[in-house]
Amino acid sequence: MTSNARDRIHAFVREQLARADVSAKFTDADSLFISGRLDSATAVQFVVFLETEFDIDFAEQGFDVSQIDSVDAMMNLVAQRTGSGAPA
Amino acid sequence: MPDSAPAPSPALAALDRGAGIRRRWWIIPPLDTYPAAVAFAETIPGRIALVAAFGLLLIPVQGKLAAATVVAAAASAYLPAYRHWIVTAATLAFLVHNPSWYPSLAALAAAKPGIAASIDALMLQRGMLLVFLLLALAAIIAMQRYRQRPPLNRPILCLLTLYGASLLLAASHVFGAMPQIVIWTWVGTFGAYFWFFGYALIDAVSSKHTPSVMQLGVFHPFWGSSTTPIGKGWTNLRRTEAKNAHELAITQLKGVKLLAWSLVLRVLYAALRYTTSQVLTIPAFDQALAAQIAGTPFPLYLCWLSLICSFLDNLLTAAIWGHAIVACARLAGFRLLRNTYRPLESRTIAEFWNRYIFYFKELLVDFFFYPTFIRCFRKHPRLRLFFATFMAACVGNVIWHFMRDISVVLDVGLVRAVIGFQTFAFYAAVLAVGIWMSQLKLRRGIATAGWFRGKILPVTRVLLFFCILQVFADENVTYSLPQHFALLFHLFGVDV
Repeated sequence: MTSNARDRIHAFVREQLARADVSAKFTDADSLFISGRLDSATAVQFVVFLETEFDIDFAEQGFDVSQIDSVDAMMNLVAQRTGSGAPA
Repeated sequence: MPDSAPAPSPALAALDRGAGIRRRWWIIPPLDTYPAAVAFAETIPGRIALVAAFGLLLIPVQGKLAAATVVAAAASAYLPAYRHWIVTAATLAFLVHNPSWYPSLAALAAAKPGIAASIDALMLQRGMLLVFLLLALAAIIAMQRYRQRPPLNRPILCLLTLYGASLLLAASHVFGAMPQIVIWTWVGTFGAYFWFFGYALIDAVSSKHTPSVMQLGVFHPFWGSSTTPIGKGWTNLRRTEAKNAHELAITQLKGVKLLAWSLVLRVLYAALRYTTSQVLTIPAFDQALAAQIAGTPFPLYLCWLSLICSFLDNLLTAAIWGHAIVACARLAGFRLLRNTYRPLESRTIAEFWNRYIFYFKELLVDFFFYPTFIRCFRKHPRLRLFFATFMAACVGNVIWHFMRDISVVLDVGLVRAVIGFQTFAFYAAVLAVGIWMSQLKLRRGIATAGWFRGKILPVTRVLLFFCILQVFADENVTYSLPQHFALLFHLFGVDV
């Protein structure tokens, strides 16, 4: 489950970086928004992606951009939602 | 992507090697990409040279205050174990030195006819500031303890309600002269620190690790700000601080570079102002508007030139001001993104908005956009995006400007001030629609093929949009919306 989720998040991050014309490589820990790689308009796409793909309800738990700032951070969110403990 | 000294390790590694850096002519050399310069900036002589160079560059910007800023920033940078407390102490020291960085409504209120003039406005403002900071501290502690309980789980809504109630009370004139002055002083102080307070409350929700008193250390931090917090709150500052000597050296070199660029822009700005106003005698945009309203409009070409110059003036002013502040924060060890980053290269309206005044946009996004987006119209994607964008770019934008210019309420009364904001509200509404449409376009992807279709055409469209919209970006409550429209029509050769 976790590796599948990580793959989907990876693919989405790559797509958004390409769309924003940012070609830099990234690791799972690299900051996407706080570093300035992506902007808040793109953050919206991530919110919608996580809501639809992983059923995450930000209205319920509150939203902070750090929650989606890296692949690892998004995996943490997914892990909390699915109750699968620490992400792989 | 704003120049951020982003510091994810691959980016820093690339900078270290100097890989991919093409040799070309620079106005300011990219010192932070030269391994030798970075290595030197990590040594004690290098640090002394860097801080001295920064200080010299800062003198034309801050005058006598430059030495104090540089000492505080250097202490913060080179004593990382005490960085947060140094920032807090420096901010509070700067506040004691200059408590009047925001206009004193006490003095304005006391100057109104019929209200006692024999008060010490400065003392009142200082006293009110102390009261405000103590109340803010109490609110932050309460927030950290009871953050899940309503209404504390909606901190910004609480703050807006409290501010609105205070303003109504101040504008109602139900009290005697002295209480009225005290209430206005409260409104002025609360308004000046409103967004700093907001970030502190959000930080209190998201993190328990910042000591409460330390939150006050970034209420108008020593490196500068307007009522918009440059650098946001501690949550963001902690994320962006240099983690080791190497990152610090790169961050500080970027700071020196940015400050130097700010000075270059100052010279450019002075040359532009002199050429346009003294040599070419192009009227200021306010003059063009006043002449139009008086029935003696300037010729069409002069009105266009006036509008374009006003647009460039605003861009340069924002860049010069923001660069100097961000540079000081970088010297202190915080890898802050620039406030203004190449806005003239924007290919969409949303991108321009992001590049023009970054921290103001971030404020609107943090306090209005995200809270709306995650809660409202979740089943209707387009409406959801529109509503959240409208709440930020229009409602939040108007609220921020209204609070900044709150002394207008003292001058003309609350009702007339609200009505007078019609032109700016129109500007903000059009801006919101523009950003929304641009975001929808962003979802579909931007055409990148070709130099003309992929770059020149979209950039021209964006600049034209913002330049023309500038007609309505007027917070002055004197002229009405129809009067601004008359000037817009005149620009297109239609005189009504």
